[in-house]
Amino acid sequence: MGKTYQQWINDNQDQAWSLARYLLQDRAEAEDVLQEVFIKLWQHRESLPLSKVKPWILRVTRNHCLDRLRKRRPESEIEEHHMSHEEGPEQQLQRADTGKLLQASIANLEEPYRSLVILRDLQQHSYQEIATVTELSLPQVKTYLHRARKQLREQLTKGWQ
Amino acid sequence: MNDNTVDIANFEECLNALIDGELGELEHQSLLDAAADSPQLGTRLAQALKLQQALQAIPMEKAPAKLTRNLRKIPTQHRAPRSPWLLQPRWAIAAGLLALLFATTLYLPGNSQTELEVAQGRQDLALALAYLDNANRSTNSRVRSTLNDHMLMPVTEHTSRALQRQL
Repeated sequence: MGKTYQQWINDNQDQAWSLARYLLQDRAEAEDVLQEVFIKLWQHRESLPLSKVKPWILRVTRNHCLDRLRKRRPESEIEEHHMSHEEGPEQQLQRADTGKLLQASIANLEEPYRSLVILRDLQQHSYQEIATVTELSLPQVKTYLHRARKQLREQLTKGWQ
Repeated sequence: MNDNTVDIANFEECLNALIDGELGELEHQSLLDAAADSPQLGTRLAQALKLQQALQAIPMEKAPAKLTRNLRKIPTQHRAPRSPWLLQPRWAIAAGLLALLFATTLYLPGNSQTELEVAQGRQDLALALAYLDNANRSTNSRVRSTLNDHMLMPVTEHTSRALQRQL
C-alpha cells in the first residue's frame, strides 16, 4: 500500500498543487491544503477505488480551498507566478504580461467558473472528470465553462486594449 | 454540432467547440466563413484564439520539493501511536525474566547462602515480579484494547501470585 500511495503522490500532487495555488493564491495555505488532502487520502486508502483516486484528490483539494476562501477576507493581490521562457526579452515581457493578466483574470472569476477554467483549460481534464470533481452535471459544466471563457475574453480584451 | 452553418446565434457555441477541439472540418470552415463575412464575429474568433493560446502558454506550477518530501512522510507519521520502545511489554518481560532467573538461582538447593544473600535475593525477586507486573498490566491493556475487555486475567497474574506464595 505504501508504494501505491507514493505513486498517487507522484501522479497527482502537481495538479492538486496547481489547483490549490490558483484558488488560494497563497503558497503556505496551498501547502497546508495539500497536506490535509494527502493525510485524508492515506486514511481512506483502503476504501477508495483505484479509478477514483485522481478525481477524489482534486475534489477534496477544491473543497478544502473553497472552505478556506469562505473563511478568508477577499484579497485583491495576486502572487507573482514564475514562468520559464526561451524567447527574446521583448517577447518574454509581452508574454509575461499576458500571462499575468490572464492569471489575474482567472483569479477574478467567480466559482465555479474559476475551477472550471483551471481544470479544463489549464489542466486539460475531460468534461466528465470535471463534472465528478466539481459535483456538477455535464450540461452545467459545459454551460458554466462557456460563460467563464466569455468573461475571460472580455476581461482580457479590456486588458489588451 | 449537427448544423454546419454558423450564425451569430450559435457562434459562441462553435467557438467553444473549436477551443475544445470538438469542431469538425466542415464546421470549422463554416466558422471561418462566418468570421470572414462579419467583422464582429471575426474579432470574437480572433479573441477566442488569442485566449486559447494564452491559456496554453501558462506553465503548470510543480509542487515544491519540500512539500513532496512532507507528503511522502505521511504514511510513517500517521501510524497508530506506539509507546516508547523501552516501555514496550517485550522489553519489560525480558528484563523481568532476567531478574527472575537471577533471583531463582540464589534459592537453588545446595547453595550455601548467607542471610544477606537471601535478603538480596528476595529483593531481586520482588523487583523481577514488579517488572513482570508492569509488563502484565501493559499487555493486559493492549489485549483489552484489541479484544474489548474479554480477557481481564492474563496467565501471568496467576503465575506471579503463585511465585509470591512460595516466598
